[in-house]
Amino acid sequence: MKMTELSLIWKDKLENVDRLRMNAPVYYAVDFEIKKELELPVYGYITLKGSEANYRVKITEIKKYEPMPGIIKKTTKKLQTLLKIEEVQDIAAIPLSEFRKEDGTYLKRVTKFSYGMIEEEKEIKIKKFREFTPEEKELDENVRKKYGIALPFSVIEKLVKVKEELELNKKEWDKVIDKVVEKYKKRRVDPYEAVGIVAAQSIGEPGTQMTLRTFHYAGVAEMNVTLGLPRLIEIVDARSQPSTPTMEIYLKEGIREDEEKVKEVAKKIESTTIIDVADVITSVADMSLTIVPDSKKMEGRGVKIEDIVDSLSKLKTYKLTVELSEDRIKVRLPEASYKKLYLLGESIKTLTLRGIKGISRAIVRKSRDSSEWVIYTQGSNLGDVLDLEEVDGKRTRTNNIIEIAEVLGIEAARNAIIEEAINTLEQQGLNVDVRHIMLVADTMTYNGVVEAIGRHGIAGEKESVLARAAFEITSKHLLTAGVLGEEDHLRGVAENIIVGQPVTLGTGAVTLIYKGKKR
Amino acid sequence: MEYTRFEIARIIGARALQISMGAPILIHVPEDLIDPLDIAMYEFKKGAIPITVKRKAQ
Amino acid sequence: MYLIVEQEDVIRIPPPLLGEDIDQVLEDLAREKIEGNVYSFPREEVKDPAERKYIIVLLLSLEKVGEGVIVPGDGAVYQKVRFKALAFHPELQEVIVGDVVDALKFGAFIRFGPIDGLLHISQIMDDVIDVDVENKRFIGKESKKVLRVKDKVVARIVALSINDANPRQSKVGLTMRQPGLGKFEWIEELAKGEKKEEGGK
Repeated sequence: MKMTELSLIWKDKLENVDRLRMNAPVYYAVDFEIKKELELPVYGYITLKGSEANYRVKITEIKKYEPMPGIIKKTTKKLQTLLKIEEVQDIAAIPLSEFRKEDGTYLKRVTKFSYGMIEEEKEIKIKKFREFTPEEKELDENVRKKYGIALPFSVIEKLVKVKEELELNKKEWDKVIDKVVEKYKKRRVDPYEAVGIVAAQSIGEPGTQMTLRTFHYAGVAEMNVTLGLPRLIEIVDARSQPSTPTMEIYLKEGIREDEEKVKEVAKKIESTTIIDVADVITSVADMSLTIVPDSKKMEGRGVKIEDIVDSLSKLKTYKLTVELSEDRIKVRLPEASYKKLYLLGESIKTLTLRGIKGISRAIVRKSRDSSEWVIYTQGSNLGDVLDLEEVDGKRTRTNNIIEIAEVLGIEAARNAIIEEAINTLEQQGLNVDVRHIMLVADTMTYNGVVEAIGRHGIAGEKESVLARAAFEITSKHLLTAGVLGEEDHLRGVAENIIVGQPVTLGTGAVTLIYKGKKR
Repeated sequence: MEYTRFEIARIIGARALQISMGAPILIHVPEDLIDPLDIAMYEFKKGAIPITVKRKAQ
Repeated sequence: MYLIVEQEDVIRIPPPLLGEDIDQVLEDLAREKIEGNVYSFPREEVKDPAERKYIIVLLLSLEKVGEGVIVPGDGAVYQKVRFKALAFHPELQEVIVGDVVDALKFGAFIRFGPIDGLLHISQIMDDVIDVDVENKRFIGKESKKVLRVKDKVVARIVALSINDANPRQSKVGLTMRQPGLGKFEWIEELAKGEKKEEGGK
């Protein structure tokens, strides 16, 4: 690609690049000034460390900075220019020394911003994901040809690395590959293996050794986390709210090393509801609710009576008359309905005054390897927490799997199921091969939403009438099936057992043919 | 072809059943083998079982 | 009546017969099973269930369909085959030609193919019938016409019930009480009489 025009080069952070990538096309406010007249569209190269360009963006507009909704800011202050970013591309790293300045000299490092020209006919390689190196590709093809199998990516990667590190000659390496393939083949599961039941038993048997009581989470004395069998049941039942939702919030560089800063964030997050700082008294006589704030609690949480009045305006569904006297607030409804009064009372009590809804407590502790401060919460609200600027979204975690599915997607939820289940088992000292749990997680998520294993989820979706009837609530399924004239094709395990035929797994799935000899 | 363990189980089992029902044995088998299952396993080792597996096409 | 049909069936080859020339074994077993067996036309081709069945008289050609399968629980080989054969297919209202093979007090048995049909005494002729069981003959009281064993007749099928399990016990009901039916001689005489009449005019 010929590049004779000037390009922009600037140093930026990975998070900004990610945000640009997710929101493009978008206006990006930057802290440097573009004084030159440039012909649009112009390319911008972003460097993370200052020595090579890692990303290329297409800029279609350049204008002076003015505040606007929906723009992404490079920094919080000193914004001077708005760039309209159309596209973000990963590129194979180009050393900045290949860029020429207008005076003809080559660039050295870029600490903030520079103009630069890239050589004519320089090939800009756009990276997608990690692809095979030539040696890896050759190995992969050879293995496929010789053995007829495709080794996993990680194995190929390692084999090539080992060859280099140990400096193997061809004969030795062939032997290594041979052994690797042999071991790989041995570990493969045979088709028609009853993996489902094996997984169920592999998880169930250790389950009988798990505790039935919850106990305190060692290390964070104040917090209660559900452990053991009850937690495993929660995970597998896809409960919308775990009984002890909790989050581990990690913060960004610059904040996480400072205990005070982290404590500030924790205070910001911890939610205060009206009931935490006030009493709500229902008066049936004059159909009103009186909110009586406790001054000590209000002070402790930093809440003023005006804040309460403000928050009442959030209750849009009710037309309220609010009377503010010196030390209390009286709330009245237009209609004289006991039920509405009661419901209003309940809504008011749980109204969030400050902090993030759902987070009842936020505690700051040093991380396990003591390198940073981490916030542990009681209560979970992944969506709102990730919105905070100080939060490192890449490492923050929650144990609420449904929330993860909503905020981060179904694949993330699948991984969360595996992680939570493994941790629950390991915490009890039990070792279950991850494959069994992977199967459960995959089964729970393969429809795109998190479904429970039981009759409200996967088991209830079975095609076979007999299988569902054999599982739970026999009469209902049989009756409905009879009325609707359903057919059962006898493809699954349960129905074949009921009927008395060989099951379609294992040996039952084998069709034998006779190859007779002719004379 | 390489058989899965289920296929091997069924092949040997079906062959043993055949032998017990009077099927002729196609290769020379040592005389001390009289149990149909033993004979079938011996035949399998020698690759002499006239039974194979029909697999579902990819 | 007779037609060439194409059908499919599964032949069971028992284990003792495995190991020899499978194709010859298959043919022998197929012949044994198929010849004399009852098969049906598909429902779409023949509406009336009574007329759907036929009996195979002779196997003409045989070919294997796929490989022989071994089924769990049985060591035998089940081979699906497709064959062409000569079939005996009686139809309702069909006019048949046959021989009287037996005379009993309720009627005569007429052989017109691999099975015999029953000619009830009420269906032999338009007359009151005297049965001479000893001499195996039927005599019409008024017409004096006689039907006895070894006579050749033309009759019509009026009832049909082929027995799948025991083809030889199939029941076919016949009648001769229609113009053009009856013992050969009766028909010839009628024809002569008509000629005379014509000649006389």
